[in-house]
Amino acid sequence: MTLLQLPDGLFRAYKAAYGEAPSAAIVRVLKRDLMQKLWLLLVDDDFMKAYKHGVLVECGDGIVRRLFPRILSYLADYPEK
Amino acid sequence: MQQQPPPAAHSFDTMPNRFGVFRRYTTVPQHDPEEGLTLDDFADGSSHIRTPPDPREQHPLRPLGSALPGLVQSAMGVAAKSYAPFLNWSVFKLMQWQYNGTSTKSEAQLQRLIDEVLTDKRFRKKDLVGCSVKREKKRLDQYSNNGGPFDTADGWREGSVTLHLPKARVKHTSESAAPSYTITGIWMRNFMEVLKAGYKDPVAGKFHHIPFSLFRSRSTPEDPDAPPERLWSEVYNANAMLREHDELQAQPRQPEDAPDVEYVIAPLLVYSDSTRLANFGTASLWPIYNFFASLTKYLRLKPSMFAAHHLAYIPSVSRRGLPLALLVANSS
Repeated sequence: MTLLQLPDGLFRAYKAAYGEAPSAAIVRVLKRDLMQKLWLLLVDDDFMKAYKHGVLVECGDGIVRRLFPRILSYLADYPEK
Repeated sequence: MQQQPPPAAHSFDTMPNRFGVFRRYTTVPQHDPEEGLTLDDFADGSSHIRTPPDPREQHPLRPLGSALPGLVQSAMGVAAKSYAPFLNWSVFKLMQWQYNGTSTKSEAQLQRLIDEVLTDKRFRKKDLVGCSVKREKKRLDQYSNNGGPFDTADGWREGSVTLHLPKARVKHTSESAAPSYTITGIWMRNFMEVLKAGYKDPVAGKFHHIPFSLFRSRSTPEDPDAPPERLWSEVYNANAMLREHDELQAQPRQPEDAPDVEYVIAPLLVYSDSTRLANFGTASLWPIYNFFASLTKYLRLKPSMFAAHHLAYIPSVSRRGLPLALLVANSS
C-alpha cells in the first residue's frame, strides 16, 4: 500500500519555523488540507457554471446535448492515513 | 425503495429481449446506445477469437487528452525521417507494437506484428542487433520527461497549493499568519475540458444519456398478468439517476437552446487511490481520475477501452513527470 507523501521541503520548512518535525497528527491534517484545497481548484467556476446551467457539447454520436455534470461517487483512499 | 414505480404518463417500453428483459423510458432516447453491441464488445479474453476493435476507440494515450494522440501522430510523421526517440524504423515499429494499447498480446496482435512490422520492406533484422528493450524504454521515458505527457493543449496545467502549518499549543492571529509552505508540481486538468473531451469521444456514442427502469417480464401463458420484476445493473437504471433526470427536465430551459436539444445529466465517478500506483514500480504521483457512468460498466472496466480520464496528479515522492510508458500501462 502506497501512501501519499508530503514533499521533503515542507518538513524542512516546518522544522525551520518551529524547531521540530511535525507530529503524525499534524502530517494528517496537512494531507487532508492538501486534498481539500486541490478539490477547490478542480471544482472551479467553469465546473460550477456547468453544474447550474449546463454546457452544450456535440457528443460523439454527432448530437448536441446540454450536459449537467454531477459527481455521483467519489472513491478514494484516505490520504491523511 | 419503490420496487415497481407505476408507469409514468408518457412511458415507453422497449421490446423485451430473449430473456424477457426490457427498458421503460420516460424520455425517449434519440438512438439506442447498445445498438450493434455484440458479445465481443463485452468479453475480450485473450484466448477469444474476435473482430478487430475500432481503431478510433483504441488510442492508449486518449485518457491524457486529445492533443497527445496528435502529438504521437506528428511524432510518427517526424519518425518517418528520424524515428525519434528511437534509432531506426525497425526499433520504432517494434516499440509501437508493444504500446499499441492491448496489454495481452492475442493472435490478432501477433498477426499485426507480422503484417505491419516484420514483413514490411523497411524492416531490417540488422537494425535490431544489440537492441535492448530496456534501453529503448528508457529512451521513451527520457523523451516524456523532457516534454512530458501533460500537454497544455489538453488542459493540463501545473498548479500549486499553499498549506498553512499548524502546531499544537502555538497560537497565530489568523490562519494566514501561520508559517506556510507551497506545494508545487501538481499537474491538473480543467475538469470541464475532461468532461467535454470524454463526451466528444467516439465512445460516447455508447453512452446512455437517458436513464430508464430495467424490467424482466414474468408473464407466462398461465399467468399473463404477472407484474414484471425490476432489475438493477447500472447507474443509468438506478432510481437516484432517474430522479435527477426528471428534476432536470422540470427545470426551465436556456432560452437560446433549440427545442430539440436534449438536457441530460453527465454522471461522473471520481476515484483517487494509490492501489494502481503499485503497478508503476515507482510511487511518484498520487492520481485523481474520472469515469463516465453513462458508459456500461462492462465496457468502462475493460482496460482496452481507456475509459479513465485523468484529472490531477499530486507529486508524492518524486517531482519528475511520470514516464510516458508507465502512464500508458496504467491508463485503464
